[in-house]
Amino acid sequence: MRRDLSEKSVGRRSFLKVAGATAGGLIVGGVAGYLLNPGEKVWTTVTETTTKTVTGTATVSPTAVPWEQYFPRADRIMKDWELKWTGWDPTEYITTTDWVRSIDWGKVKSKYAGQTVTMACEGVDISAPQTFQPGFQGISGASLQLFGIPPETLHEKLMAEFTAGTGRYDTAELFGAWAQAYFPYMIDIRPFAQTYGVDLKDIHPAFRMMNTGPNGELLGVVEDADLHSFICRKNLLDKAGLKIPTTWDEVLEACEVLKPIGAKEGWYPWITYYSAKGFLTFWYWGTIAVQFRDVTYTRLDSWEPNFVGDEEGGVRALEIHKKLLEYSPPGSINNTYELGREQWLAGLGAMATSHQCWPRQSYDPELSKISPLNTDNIIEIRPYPKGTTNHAPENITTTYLGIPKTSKQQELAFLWSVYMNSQESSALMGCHGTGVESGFVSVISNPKVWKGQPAYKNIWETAWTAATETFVYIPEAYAIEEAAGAEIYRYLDGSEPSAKKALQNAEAEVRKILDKAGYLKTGIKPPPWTVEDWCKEHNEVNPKP
Amino acid sequence: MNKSKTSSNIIYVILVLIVLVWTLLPIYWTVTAAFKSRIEVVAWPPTFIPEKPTINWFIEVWYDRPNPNYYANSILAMIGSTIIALALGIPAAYGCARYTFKGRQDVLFTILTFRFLPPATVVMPLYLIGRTFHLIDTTLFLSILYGGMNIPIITWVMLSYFREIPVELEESYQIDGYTRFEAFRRVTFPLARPGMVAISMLVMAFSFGEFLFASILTTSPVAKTLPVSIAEYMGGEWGYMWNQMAVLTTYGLIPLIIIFFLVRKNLVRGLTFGAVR
Amino acid sequence: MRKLNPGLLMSIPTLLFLFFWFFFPFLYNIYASMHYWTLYNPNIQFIGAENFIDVLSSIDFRNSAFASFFYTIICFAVELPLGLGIAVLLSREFKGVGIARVIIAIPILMIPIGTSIMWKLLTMPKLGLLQYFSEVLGFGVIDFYGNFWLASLLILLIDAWQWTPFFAIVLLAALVSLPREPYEAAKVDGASPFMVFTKITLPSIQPVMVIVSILRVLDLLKLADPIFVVTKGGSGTETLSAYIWRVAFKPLDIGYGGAVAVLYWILMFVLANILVRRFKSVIQ
Repeated sequence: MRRDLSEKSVGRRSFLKVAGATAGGLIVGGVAGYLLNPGEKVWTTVTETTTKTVTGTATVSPTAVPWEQYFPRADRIMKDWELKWTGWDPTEYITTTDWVRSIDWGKVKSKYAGQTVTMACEGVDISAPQTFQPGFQGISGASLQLFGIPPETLHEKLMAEFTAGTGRYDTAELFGAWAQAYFPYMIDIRPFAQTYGVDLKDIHPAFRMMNTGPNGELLGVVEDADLHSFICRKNLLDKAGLKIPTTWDEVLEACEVLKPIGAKEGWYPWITYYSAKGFLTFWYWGTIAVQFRDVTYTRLDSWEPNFVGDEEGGVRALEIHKKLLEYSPPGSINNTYELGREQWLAGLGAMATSHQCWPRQSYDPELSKISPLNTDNIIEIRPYPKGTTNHAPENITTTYLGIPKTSKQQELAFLWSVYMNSQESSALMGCHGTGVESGFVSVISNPKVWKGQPAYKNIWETAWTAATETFVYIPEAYAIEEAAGAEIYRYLDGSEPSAKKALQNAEAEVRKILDKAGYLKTGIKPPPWTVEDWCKEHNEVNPKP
Repeated sequence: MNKSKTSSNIIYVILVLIVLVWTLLPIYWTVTAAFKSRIEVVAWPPTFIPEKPTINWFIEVWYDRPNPNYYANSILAMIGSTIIALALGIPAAYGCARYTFKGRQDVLFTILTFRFLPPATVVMPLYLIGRTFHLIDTTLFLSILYGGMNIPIITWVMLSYFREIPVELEESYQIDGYTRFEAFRRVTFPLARPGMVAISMLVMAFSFGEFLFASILTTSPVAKTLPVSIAEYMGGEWGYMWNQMAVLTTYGLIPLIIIFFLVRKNLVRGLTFGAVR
Repeated sequence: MRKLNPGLLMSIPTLLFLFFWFFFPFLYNIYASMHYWTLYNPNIQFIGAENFIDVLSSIDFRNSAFASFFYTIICFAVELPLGLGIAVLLSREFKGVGIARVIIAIPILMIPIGTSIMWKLLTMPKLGLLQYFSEVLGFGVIDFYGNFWLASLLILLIDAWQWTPFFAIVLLAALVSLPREPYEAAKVDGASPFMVFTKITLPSIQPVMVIVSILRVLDLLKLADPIFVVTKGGSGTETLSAYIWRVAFKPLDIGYGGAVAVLYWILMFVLANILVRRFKSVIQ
């Protein structure tokens, strides 16, 4: 049956209402957005004290400008409790060298005043460049525009832009593990470094190797340099009468002892850094696997993947990986970095392996429930647990600032990247707990810096033995890690009962990708994947403590 | 008799309350998270009322990143896409409802197939097309794509609407000397308006929350949208920035709720999709 | 020349628009699927059906196809009855029903990515509100992220929370606009409320139910957002959309991704065809 039509017609009033509603929505969002549009203000609002002093004096003539006021310094970055905790003299630089201090900024300013440079970065970490933005704008007279991109889609988006040739950025934050995919679209920064006397060799080889091309060309300045450490809450271990474990066997034993205690008190023996299906699985397994020296991703003379290991070290590592998941909070098999961090800082675990950020952020009372500053926790940072032989923590993670060929402000972009990632600024970012870590030899070997970022001591002592986080740094790295990780994951979730079989499947998948991409046919040697081998190949000294 | 009625009333009230609590709990949690301190968000046991409520997150989110611009862009893309979807979806629906022609079913079905296309499969080629037409990083591009994504909904729903309105009514107008278009404008359109309003609401909600296209095809504050901004507060060295994400989600609810509240009468009438006989 | 039918004429702009912006890019998938093509490798080689063979022999593809259908079925099976129940509940007139009807619709308006993230906050072991309730009630920690069934439950909860209102408000609108006469007649005849519901109410709102169901099912088949938040595709919860994202979009493997997309599309096309044909009589 059809209803009476008059019932269905809508009067003018209700139509007005609809129009009013739409307008209301516009007023609330759009109009308010445009009215309150902070424009420039957005980009310069930084809570630190520096900002205010800097923005106030931006118009002084170049010759009269005391450059020091724009240089990164502890009192301009750190919070009060951080300065108190480290006991630094806030008016002093904490590093001895800083390439920002050796650049002739007067010349830069006369050349670039009034120009604009743009940067793409992970949206989450935009606070790091924002911190240094006012200083750079003051010191160079140029203005800086920042574009955030969600970390989830950073790699794809940049690749889409580069391959399409729409270079909207003068400099972009690139992820080191997959850096080789960006090679064709980036410039070599060494000529600029020479012009301005910037000593790029001060960056530890561990953090330079994945950004270096076959002929030694360097793709960018290292922005964030991460390496795995072992962290634990010593108070919990002490209470159970345990020593800090140094090998994986000891770790598993300690987990067994801690498990019943934790069950009573509401925590778990272990926190899994990340393990989610795909490349994260591969990395986590890989960090353990390289501790069993006989595993090589590729033999140095051929591309043959060897995940099982000559003495089945890879199999052992995978079994350890699965055991650790049992000692972690439920669901850790699908942990991502963010969730693992949440669990660690909430005090849900006694031990973990992680990059430098967790140890440092554990101290921050605003972030962490286990901060030693207002609880009785003791955080200890130690070298990565050993396997059968004495080897290194794997998993060097870097992000770096590259300059695309399409950039119209290459030199200015270079200046920004060295300003933002100078020794002093990177040391401060690390000590400030932002998770943006320093990769300079002169910084991580500096005991004064260890007070602000305790993990650097361990990083400095182990970095020379490190290996790449990735299978091997070629453009296909991501695809390879994803495919191998998915195969390895099958053992963890139980759909493949044999660890060895899972690893062999992963090998087969990787071989297929390498074959398709043509590596197996060409006879080119694969790049070295440990710092030692890399230094040998590039005739460099591997800095050792 | 009276007693059983009271008890059934009580059950009834309890059921309604359960539904409301179930619906509101996550929203309440979102809104309160926006007022809590970073560490209190994951407090154990959880706190139902923020201990020291703060509005700092609202201020930070508004000023530290160009979120006002993203907000405005989201609304623009939402309105633009709704207009495009209506402008293209309604003629098709009307045409298919009023005329019989060979392949009509195929036309309708073809339109429907575009509803199940996963964005990940077309976004890369769209990037190249967008570059050719200089559409990358514009809200216009987003409007076009969101509009396209929602055309199938509009067409199918409005189709059944137009079928419900007797064609004789239009014909009587045409006899009076009006053109077909005039007849449509004066008769069918007003009758179908509640439905249009209702379905536009859903289309608006779909467009407002889209993430993948926006994250790949936009870059700068000129076109980037709110969902992309939310994703930027997650991952990286700071992990989940719960407070900021809660604030943005709350901000995102406001305009839609206002619109929804104002058109609620239309909604109830309009969402019958005209298909009740 | 024969004159074009005006109905077809009106549909042509819509079709052209959709073809240009969506089908045209999709064709590129068909071309890509026959090639070895990655975004970072300039060499594009023709390899015929190799990508298709790879996809079809992949365990993950089959698992994700299963997961897609599994979630479509369970989500639909929960959302429709629940939505109908809520609609019946709120179709009665009482004080404050207006505001209740608005409130139940709010979840639809939440930005999906924000919804998912807030559910993560609610369910983190030892940190989330739901885990707290579970511990208070004595169930202990619930493994929402690692166990297939519990993760599926969480995915179902997220999806049902956000989209049950879709069914609820639509069916509610249908219920309140039903004509009164048949009910009064039934009352006179002394029919039980259950009889009234099945014999009068359900048949009258069936066309509405079919249309929203088809639209909802098509959306469910490309379900991906909650998967990323809950498990990142692990523990067997990966759906086809999430699979495409992981193996094609993230590694920028356009060839393989193209093959998956084409297969996905064929699968969906057949399914949608069956659905539409099955319910043709009801819709018209």
